[in-house]
This record gives sequence, structure tokens and C-alpha cells, in this order.
Amino acid sequence: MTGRSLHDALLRVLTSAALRDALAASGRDGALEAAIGAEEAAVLRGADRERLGRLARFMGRHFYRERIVRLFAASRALARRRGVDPLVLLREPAFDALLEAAEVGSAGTAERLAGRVEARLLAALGDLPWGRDLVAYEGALFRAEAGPRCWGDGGAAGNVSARSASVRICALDWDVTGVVAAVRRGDAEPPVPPRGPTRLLVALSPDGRVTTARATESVERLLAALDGIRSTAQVARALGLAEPDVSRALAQLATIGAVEWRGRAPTA
Amino acid sequence: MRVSVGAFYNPHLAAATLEAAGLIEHLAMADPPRPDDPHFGEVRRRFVLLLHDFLGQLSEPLGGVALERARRLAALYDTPWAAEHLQRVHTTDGRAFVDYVFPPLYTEDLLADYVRNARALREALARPLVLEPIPTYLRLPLPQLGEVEFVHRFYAESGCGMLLDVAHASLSARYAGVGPREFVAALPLDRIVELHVAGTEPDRDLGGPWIGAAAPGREMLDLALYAAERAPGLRAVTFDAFSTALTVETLHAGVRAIRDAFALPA
Repeated sequence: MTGRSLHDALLRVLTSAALRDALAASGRDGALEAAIGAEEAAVLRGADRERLGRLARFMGRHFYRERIVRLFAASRALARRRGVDPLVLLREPAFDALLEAAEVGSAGTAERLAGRVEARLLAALGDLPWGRDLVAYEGALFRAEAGPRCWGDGGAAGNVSARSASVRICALDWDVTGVVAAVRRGDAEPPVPPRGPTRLLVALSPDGRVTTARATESVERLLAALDGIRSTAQVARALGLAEPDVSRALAQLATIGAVEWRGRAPTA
Repeated sequence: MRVSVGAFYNPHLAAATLEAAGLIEHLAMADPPRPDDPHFGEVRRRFVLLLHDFLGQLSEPLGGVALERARRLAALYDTPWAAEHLQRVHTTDGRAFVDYVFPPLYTEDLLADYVRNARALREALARPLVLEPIPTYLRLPLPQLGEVEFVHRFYAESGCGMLLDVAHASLSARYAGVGPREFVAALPLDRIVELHVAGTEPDRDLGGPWIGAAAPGREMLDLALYAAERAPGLRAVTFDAFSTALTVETLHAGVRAIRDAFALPA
């Protein structure tokens, strides 16, 4: 055990209800010790349990408060004009219960919370012709954000491209991206969005930024062709495209986190 | 050298901040300016800008894209010094993280990592680097250096300056059961380059006061003055409030309270 390994264990316990429950249970827990280390588990068992629980709740509540503010920015701003603020959810007993079972940062916890936030927002904005689409789009941002990060310059390397787990296509009837941009700029009055079929690609970049791009037919065909096995050259051949063009597109998609690189393709 | 008084750049208060030039002399930049920020050009012209972004946790080496970003921001702001937190927010493998300032454990192995990586960052940026300690709420039952010894050795061995957040120090003291002045007196006050001053706010989850975005009260200002009087290298005092909920009134109140307490008229 080192200071580093113990601090890693502490961070895991603070963000995982399952690990905290295992820590609180009596007797040795092989799964817990495998997850955080036997010596580390012994030290954490000796920590002030109340303060550990309080700190975990504080971290979890702050984590999701920040994400609701940032990723539901436009729908929240409009809902607040109608007297509804989804942040009120975070002070309700139902959210306390969610926190007690949360794996902070996980897709599962994000999904559970997103549903509640969306319901609250739809109650305020559902009568707007584009209200549902706005909430759905920001809900996609919120869900996409719950993914793994690359904190340094590490990360997957290889020559096989695959569609990343965080990427999702949002199909809307109204192009609400201008509404979100206007709210984030601080415009006094967001525009009425244009109506028309809109397909948006939402992805989480390795450094944790959620990015939106237009999901053109060619981008969707390319993403669909990425099976995590074929090399870029093989993908290009399958799509009838020039390899340099596919490489360029994949590099751009990798920058926004829609594509990740893995392993090495078998030689053709 | 005259001490500068400033605040954080809160983009939603940009217009009011520009109007307060004179009252506010410098701005700490917690986030890069948005590309569509209509005020940043003028902000850059009117204020001294201090880099105070998340560059990386210095238990890990900073390189590649992250270091280039740090260099780019330092150049954009022409910051007289770069600031980072003495924090550890994600695991070594990056899979678990807290989205909030969180202190490291005060152990020899982590001290060595922070010293090495802070020195490397300071040399790479080619400008002074100041580190801001984070309050300790939870202590673990194992032999450690302790927060005070850790920071003493960190600044001495890394050559970095200290950004003393007075509220942070008061909270560390409170949750350790130590008087705030006693705690601050034990810190390497001769290493202070910048002070952060703000009020604390009650937190229901933590069951006590915690970091807030409130104007500082009398006790906090007195503690800040106590530290400042023992900090011959002090160059700036910053009202430490960065929040989308921050109002113009609180921004002005915080900066004025600092100016009044430090007898530094606008």
C-alpha cells in the first residue's frame, strides 16, 4: 500500500455506493479487497464512517448539480421563467435515496437522474412546440457526458477504429441547437428554433467535453461501418471511399470522442 | 510592491466587471474564455489576468496536450504567475473521479510526486507557479506527514509559491479541531504570493461550514490580514467567488470588504 494506492481507494469508495456498503459490512469481503486492496480496505474501515458518508453525499450532490446546470442549461433557463427549477430535485428525499445507491459518474446513475430531470422539465415546457425536442437534446448531452475520461495523454492507441460507447444520434423535429447556444451566450431572449428534421451526433471527448456535430448521412454510414475489427483501409474499401478521406474523417471524429482507436487489425 | 486586489472572472458578470475596473484590478481565470464571449477582448485589455484553471493534478506528470493547453492559456493571459490546486481528483487509472477540489493524502510518496511534477510544470511554463492547498475534511487513520508539514516541504522542495486560501485554511483548522490562527501561523507564510478571501457557507451534507461564494465576514478578513502581515512576498488578494449564481452585489461587496480591511482604496 502507498499513499497513492490508498488515495485511489478513497476516491473509489467516495464515488461508489456499492463499495461503501461493502466497507460498512462486517467481515472480510474478497470483492471489496480485490477492488481497492486489502490494506487499503482495512485503513478505510477505520475512517470516521459518518464523515466518509457525508463527504460522499456532498461529492455526489455537487457532481450532479453541476451537470444539470451545465448540460440542461437552456431547458432549465426556460423552465425557471415558468417557475420550475429542476435543481429542486437535488434537495428532495428521492434524490437522497438515489445518491445512497449511486455510482457517481456512471451511465446507470446518469440515466436514472436524467429521467427525473426530464420529467420535471417537460412538465414546464411540454406545451412549447419544440419543448420536447429541447429536453430530449439536452438529455442526450447529459447521458453522453457519463463516460470514461482520459486525463493525461494516455488513452487507447491502435489502428482499428470503433464507434465509442458515448456517441449517440439525436433525431429531432426542431433544430434546437441555436436555443442552447443563445442561452449559453447569455442572450436575453433565445430564438425560436427552425422546424425541420434534424439529426445530431453527440459524443464525449477524451478530456470530458460533450460535443455536438451534424449527423450527416456519410458520417452515420462511416460510424455504422466501424466494427472494431477492420483497419481504416478496409473500412474505406467497404464504403467505396478514398482511404485518406476516411482517415481524415476518423481523426476528426476521434477528436470529439465519437471514435476510439483499439488494438491492431489483422493483416489483410 | 503594491498589492493588487481582484476577483474571479465570472462571464455572466462581464459587463459589470468591466464597469468595476479600478475597484477590481486583476481577474483570476478559472475557465478559458468562450469563443463567443463578446467581452473578453476588453477584459484582456483592462485587467491583469491570472491563470487559475484546472491544468492537471500534479500527482501525475503534465505533458502533451495538457501542457500545451497550459502554455497556451498562460500566453493568452500573459499571466504573471500560474496557479493550480494542491489537489487529487481522479484515480491513477482515471476511472473514478470527483468533480470538486479534493486534497491528496499527505504521504511521502505523494509528496515526491507533487514536488517532481510541480517543478517540471514550473520549468515548462517558464513563469512562477503557485499552488493552493485544499481543506481537509476527512482524516484517515494512518501515519502521514500532516497537512502543515506536507505543504512546508512541498513549497521548499518544489520552489513554488503559495496561494493561501484563507477560507480553506480556516476549514482545515475547524475540522481538525485547531484554532484558525494557530493553523495559519504554522504555514509557510513567507511563500505566499496570492491570498484568496471569501466567506464560507453552511453545507447540509457536510454538517458544517464549507467553501462558498459569499463575501467574507470580519473573522475571515482578520485571518487574511494576519496572514498578509507575515507574507513579505504577497502580491495579490483575490475575492474567491466563482459561480453562475454570483450576483453583482456580492461581487462588489466582496472586493470592497477586502479593500476596506486591507486599507487599499480603489
